Amino acid sequence: MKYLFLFFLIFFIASPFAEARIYLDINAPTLVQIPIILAKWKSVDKTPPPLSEKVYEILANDLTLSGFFKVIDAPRLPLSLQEKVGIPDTLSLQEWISAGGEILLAGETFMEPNGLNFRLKFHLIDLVEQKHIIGKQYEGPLQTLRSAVHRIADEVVLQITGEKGVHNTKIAYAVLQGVGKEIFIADFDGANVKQITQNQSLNLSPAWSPDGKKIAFTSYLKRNPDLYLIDVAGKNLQPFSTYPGLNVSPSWSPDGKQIAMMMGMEGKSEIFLIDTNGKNPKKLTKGQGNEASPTWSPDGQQIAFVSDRSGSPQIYIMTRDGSNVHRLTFEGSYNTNPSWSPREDRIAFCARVEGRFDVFAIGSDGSGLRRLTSNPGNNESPCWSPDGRYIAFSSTRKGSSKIFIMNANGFNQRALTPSKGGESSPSWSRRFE
Amino acid sequence: MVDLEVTIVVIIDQDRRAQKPKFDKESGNAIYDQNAMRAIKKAEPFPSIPKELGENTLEFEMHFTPDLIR
Repeated sequence: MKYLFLFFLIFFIASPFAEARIYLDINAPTLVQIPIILAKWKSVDKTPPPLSEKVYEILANDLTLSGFFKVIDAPRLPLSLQEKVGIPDTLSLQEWISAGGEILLAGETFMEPNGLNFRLKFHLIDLVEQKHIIGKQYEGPLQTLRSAVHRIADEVVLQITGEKGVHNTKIAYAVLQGVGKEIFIADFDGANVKQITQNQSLNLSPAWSPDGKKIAFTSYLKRNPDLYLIDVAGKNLQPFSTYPGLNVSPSWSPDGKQIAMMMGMEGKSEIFLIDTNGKNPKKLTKGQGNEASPTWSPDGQQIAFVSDRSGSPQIYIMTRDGSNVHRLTFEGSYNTNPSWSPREDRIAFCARVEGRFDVFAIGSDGSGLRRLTSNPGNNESPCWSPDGRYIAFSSTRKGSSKIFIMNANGFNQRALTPSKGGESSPSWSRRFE
Repeated sequence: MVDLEVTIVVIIDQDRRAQKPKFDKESGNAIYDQNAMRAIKKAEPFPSIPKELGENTLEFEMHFTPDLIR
């Protein structure tokens, strides 16, 4: 869009028509990140400065991770603005405008004298239009500070993009521990890493329930790969599906009433549907091959899955009663791990290309195939954020497998946490705020 | 693929400013819509209207098409 000026220049030289409306086509090759200035936060009254610094740090990181912004924080500002704290007078915006941002986010923290509760006040200002966008205040007990700052970041994303951010979401994944694997969860920004299972067994493929309260996963706790449910706090472990053979790869229906999964009680693996009380297993596939990895369409009417019925693993789609099966992927000889966007008719999956795996996405009508990763190593197990704007996946690009997050167009790829690795099969929660 | 298309109609005056830019067609994606709108405001001041045209203002219809955001 910076070429706008050039377009005009060419036009004025070339235009033979003056009276009529003039038509211009402007193509941006990629989406531009919006430059947002983060003024330092002010500590009001006796509020300890480290509190404001903490808020500022979380916020700058959140907005960077969102992928929508080019964050201009204090070190990137002109010296005269680096130490300016708090909310500027809207009449004196000129110095901020000249600093190169289009949006200004400024705020202040206030700690109650009892030292237990905080109050965060922020203002968002459009520097191009020179108008106030929004001002809000959040308060709460100190232990909810991170979440409150995430709410501010979500609000900024809402104001600028038309939809709230996902900073108050979590990601569950399996982590190698000794000879087994345990289920962990972490916040979207990689903070608050918590271990959910501690049974020294092999615990795999976690899947968040739509209400965000439970995680379904497969465990070899009793030797057979059985499906269990557990609370997010790591309590109330309960067996869910313990049929002989495989009970793996759970996927909750969007209404939370059923779980689609892969079962092997008949020798060959098939897709089954089970009520979330663990009753009424119903076989959906008809045994034309090995069937695996079910994932629901956002309206709960269809299920995508993997089948090798054609001779190699490919993605198929069926109606939720098992009828109307049709093949989705035709390119490549090994397509697995489908994940249906909760917001759009797009399905992310993992494809083998030249001996290693990359994440791709395709429309549910088979159109718009797009490659999203092309890094060294294997990039696998994609899953979508609840707003459909991000994809989490596992990658061995830096050695041991780690959870990565990227924008849904493949941009802005980053590791979830600074851990050493051994991580696999991410599942993204709903929003918690 | 998601088709994001924004059309903004704007009048450029002799002060080289964009008068009353307004959406003729919104993409439905606010980040892209606002980005396009800001791009126009940021492009001010525009080149002068050539005298030979004998016009005080020029009306433009700008059609933005991007790469996809989702």
